[in-house]
Amino acid sequence: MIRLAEARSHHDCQVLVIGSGAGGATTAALLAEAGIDVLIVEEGAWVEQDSVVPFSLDQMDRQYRSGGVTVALGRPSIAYTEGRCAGGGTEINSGLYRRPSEATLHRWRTNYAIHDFGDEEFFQACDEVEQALSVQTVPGRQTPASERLRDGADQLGWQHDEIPRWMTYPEGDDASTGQRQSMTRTYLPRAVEAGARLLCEHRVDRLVFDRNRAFRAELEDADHSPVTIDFEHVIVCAGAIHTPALLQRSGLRGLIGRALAVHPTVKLAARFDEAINVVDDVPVHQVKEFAPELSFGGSASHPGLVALALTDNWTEMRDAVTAWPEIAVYYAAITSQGRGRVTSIPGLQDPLVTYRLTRRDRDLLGQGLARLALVMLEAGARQVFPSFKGAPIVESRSDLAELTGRFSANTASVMTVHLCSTVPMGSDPSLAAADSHGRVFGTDNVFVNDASLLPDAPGVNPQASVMAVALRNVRRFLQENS
Amino acid sequence: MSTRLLSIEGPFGVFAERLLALELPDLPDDRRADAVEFTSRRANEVPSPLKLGISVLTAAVGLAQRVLGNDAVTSFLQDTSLPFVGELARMVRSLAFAFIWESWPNTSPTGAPDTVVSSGDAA
Repeated sequence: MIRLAEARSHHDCQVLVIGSGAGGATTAALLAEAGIDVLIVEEGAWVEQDSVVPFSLDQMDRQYRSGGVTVALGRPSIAYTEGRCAGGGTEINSGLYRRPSEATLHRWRTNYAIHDFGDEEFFQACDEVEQALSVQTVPGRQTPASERLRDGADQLGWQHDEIPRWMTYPEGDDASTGQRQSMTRTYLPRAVEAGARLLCEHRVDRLVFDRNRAFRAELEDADHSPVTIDFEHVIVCAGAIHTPALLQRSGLRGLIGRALAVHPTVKLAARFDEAINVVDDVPVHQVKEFAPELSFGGSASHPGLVALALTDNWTEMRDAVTAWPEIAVYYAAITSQGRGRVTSIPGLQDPLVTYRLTRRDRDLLGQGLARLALVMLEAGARQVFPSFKGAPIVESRSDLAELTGRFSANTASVMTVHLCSTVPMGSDPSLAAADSHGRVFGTDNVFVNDASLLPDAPGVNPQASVMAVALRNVRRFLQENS
Repeated sequence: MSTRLLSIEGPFGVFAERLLALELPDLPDDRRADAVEFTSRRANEVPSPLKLGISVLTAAVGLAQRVLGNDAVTSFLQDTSLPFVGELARMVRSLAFAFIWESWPNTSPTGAPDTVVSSGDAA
């Protein structure tokens, strides 16, 4: 296990990095390697990767915020998950990695007037991330559930591909022995090796300011005892929900927290004639025929999650639950035109999170679910169980019209794992909450360097975007503060 | 206030216990108790604004349980599609079912233990 910082009632540092996920770990490593005195504060605990079963309830207890029960309120409400542990979301996500498209970068650059945001520099940062995390495709066979998704798309002539993951495969082509190259295996050890201190199980309550300059953080340790940290600069990397919440608790408002963007998803369970369920892994194929508006992929499918996928229509679908080895769960994700809010409320520890889908979003979710069901039928699924109240069991193409007719987003189990855009970066303060390199408007030394900065949801797994932006911004920080 | 309302002895726990008894009638008592305990613990861990909302809703459920009886209230909540009110049964069902089938994967659709599953675990 990595050496953690000693708990004390007061700490000093040059740069305080709040959060140790994809943004925070990357930021801390580069700063420490440049000789900066860095203190990383993480709200959750350090959990060794091999000590938990991926996607299990035990993992949710130990590494997810609120045990995995977190919701953006709305109609429908959208369930989301966040990591709350050393390494943040990289410890709990599926490890899939995809660069944002040039079109996405162009949209961000032009719509938000982001300075010095060229494709070449950005993709060089992606190269660096991919090398550091050993991003690669599966060397051997994919899981059966992944192959079914690929086969269904092939049958329809729809575009699909395998998404690389940040994994190493010590046993050569044995895909089942892959080891995730999350932050606790990569950038956090690098940061500590270079002299950064990592303080786990401490929650930052607020930043204290002298005019526009923050100089102190007030925290609680695991026993709720007060702790303070004095710093020269602070870089907040607490994720798209808790970064804006912390800034708001510290008295910063403006556009902070007002443009939450997500990829809403709906799901279904598909039953095949043979065993396909691999409980501790997820499919690596995605169907991109309708991307970026619509993407299809596979979810974790252990028996508890199969049961969960059937609960919206339990009376009709419950008999399938004993067939869970033959069932896998899949999702349809959309790029949403809706937006949400993160609002810190005085007296409450956590922020209120809301999200509103547009009419187009609702229609697209329904279309996505029907097309995903079609892929499953073409892949040989005997039965398809869409996750919304009143859904029919789909057994043939003729049932798809009924699925579409009955679908209502209000009765669907909508969820997301990609949260961003709550402190968007750009040079125009009427659109952005931080400047082109993450400094929060109205402050001299408060920076953000996580998914909050992305101007909108990239339409693909966002970790590549988060890490490349983090590398870019921390290098600019070093240039300006060396 | 919230902790008591959402405890296994409080209105939330009573509702969760009755809902599972109705929907999984063959689930053994000890497993149902474990599932209720898990569901109650998770409800106590949700973010504070959500917990406040659930607590207010649960307080109203507790009042209704006293006036109308546990079974009547549970039956109403089991099927209602009223915004927010309907989310209570959905939340309990989601948490409890995920817990039950992860803990005991060979549970039958009615909750009976040790049902033979359709085929062996894949690869």
